[in-house]
Amino acid sequence: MYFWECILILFWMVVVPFLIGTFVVNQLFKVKNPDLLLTFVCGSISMLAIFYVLEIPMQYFKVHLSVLVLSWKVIIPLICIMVLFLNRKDYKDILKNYIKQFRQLSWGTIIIILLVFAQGVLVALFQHVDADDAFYVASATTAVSTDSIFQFDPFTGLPLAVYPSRYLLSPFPIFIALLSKLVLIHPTIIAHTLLPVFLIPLSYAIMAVLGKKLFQDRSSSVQIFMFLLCVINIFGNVSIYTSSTFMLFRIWQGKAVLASIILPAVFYFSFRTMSGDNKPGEWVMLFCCVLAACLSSSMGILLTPIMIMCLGIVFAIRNRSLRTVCYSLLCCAPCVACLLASIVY
Amino acid sequence: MIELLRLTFTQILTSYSQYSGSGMYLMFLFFSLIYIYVAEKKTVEKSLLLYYPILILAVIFNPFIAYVIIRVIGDNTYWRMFWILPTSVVIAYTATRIICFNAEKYKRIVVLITLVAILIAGGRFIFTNQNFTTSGNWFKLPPQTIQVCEIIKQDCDGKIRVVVPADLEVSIRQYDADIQMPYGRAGSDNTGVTAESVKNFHSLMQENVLNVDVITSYMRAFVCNYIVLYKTTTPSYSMEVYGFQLVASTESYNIYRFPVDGMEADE
Repeated sequence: MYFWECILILFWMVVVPFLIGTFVVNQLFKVKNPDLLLTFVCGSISMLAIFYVLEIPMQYFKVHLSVLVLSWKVIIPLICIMVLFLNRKDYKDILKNYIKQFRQLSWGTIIIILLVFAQGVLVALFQHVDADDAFYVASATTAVSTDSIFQFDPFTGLPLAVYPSRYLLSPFPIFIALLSKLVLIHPTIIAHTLLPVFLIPLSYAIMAVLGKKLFQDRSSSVQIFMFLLCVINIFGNVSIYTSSTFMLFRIWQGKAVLASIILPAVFYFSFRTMSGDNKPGEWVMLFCCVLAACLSSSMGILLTPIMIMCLGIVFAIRNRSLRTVCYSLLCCAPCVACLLASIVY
Repeated sequence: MIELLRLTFTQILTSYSQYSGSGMYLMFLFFSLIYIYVAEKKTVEKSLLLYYPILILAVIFNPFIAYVIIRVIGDNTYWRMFWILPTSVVIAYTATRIICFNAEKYKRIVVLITLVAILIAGGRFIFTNQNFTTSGNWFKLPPQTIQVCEIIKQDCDGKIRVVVPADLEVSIRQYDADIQMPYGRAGSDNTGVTAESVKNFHSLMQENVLNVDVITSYMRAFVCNYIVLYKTTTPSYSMEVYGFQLVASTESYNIYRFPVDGMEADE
């Protein structure tokens, strides 16, 4: 009964991010032996960025959700076919490399992977009631039930007279609605049960690629780093405001995605881009992170430019190059546009 | 001006204590920054894990910048600024460096166990019974929410607009967004037109003794055809006399149907 849904979940949430990620890593980063995790991270973030670019104009023109879903079903497979075509000569090597990475997994790494997935599964299996879901999850269910994008009040189901402007430019619930339509599962099940299993490992995947860069791929150091991060998060309930509590209590909400996935991704890709040789492709990926930040939460529109500019200043001083600051400013353009749009609204 | 800055700085300190809570993680961060300053030789890592956090702290604790940001985001969410501080990364990196500094394996294990014990002592476990409960459904919603929705849907073929008590406000529309409500979480709505009457309706529903006369007028005004009440709620008068019909009961709630005109008209 659930076989078809499982196939759809695997396709839209694993295969598609990997294919898009392959494009980013092979074509933009021009990495010879791409890291499996880096590919997944790049693909997932790029997918969110593509969704944002597609959704905002449709929302503005009050297009039906079904049209957005149809566009997604056409555009994403086209991108995937294009990626397959571009990498047609390299796929043998890419797959070989991925299989090699799987085979080389040490026991330490396997334990860390199990620890990470255990957190995702625990959050998915148990229930944490969060009052903010009355807006975030109900926005997704409302979009699906009314076949519209932010046209109805999620609290009441009545047509919106006044638009909640701070949410309009960060339509993460609509992404949940889209997933719901794609995998044929109720949006609330997507949010509460399915997303934790994918988003919590994604958050740790970002930390793992950061750890690999910080410790120059010294496997034992990366394992210890990841284990300690797991401990910090599992014991991170020091207040309800930390990114750990946001990740393990309500990862399906846009602001939790911002705190535990997008901001760490901005941190990692800024580090990667600014500490390296300023490859244009890596700046494009950072730009995608900014778009994903705008999608996830209105706070992302403000926090991401602060983060990028601070990192830009630090690395501009280190590199003695003003180019880092200039590119950082360019990357923040979507946030500036969103801030201006929110003033106009 | 000085008073304004003082108030802003108080807000910053409040946000700091909100974020740091009962744990020691921000304290660990400061120790880690000192360690990186002393022990780290590579400038790239130092830039990322020392100078960047210091710059961010300078931004967060700067009352001039904070004043502008608080004006934009509001004063009760300034704690979110701490999200751009890479607290866990810096702590984990420092701890890893301290562990890997030891060449011998058994020494590494001893240091690892010690540091994990310190992290556990300085934090609070997240997967507790207070934070997570078992749920009998994939929606991860209270089972009674699903029961109430299903009972109403079986009873009504047309449009449903239901008034519910506080416990159900959050979850009803997560289960079924076809069901409308006159108000949402804590009496809020986004229409901006009927805010005052919505609030009155909501506060009326919080009373232990329900004023049936007034509720009836609100049910008509908001065109609601169902009402869900706690079993413990006492109506001020017989519900049936005012046209309410008991449809069914769950463990905690009574569900009433209410005859009302104009359900389709305001779509």
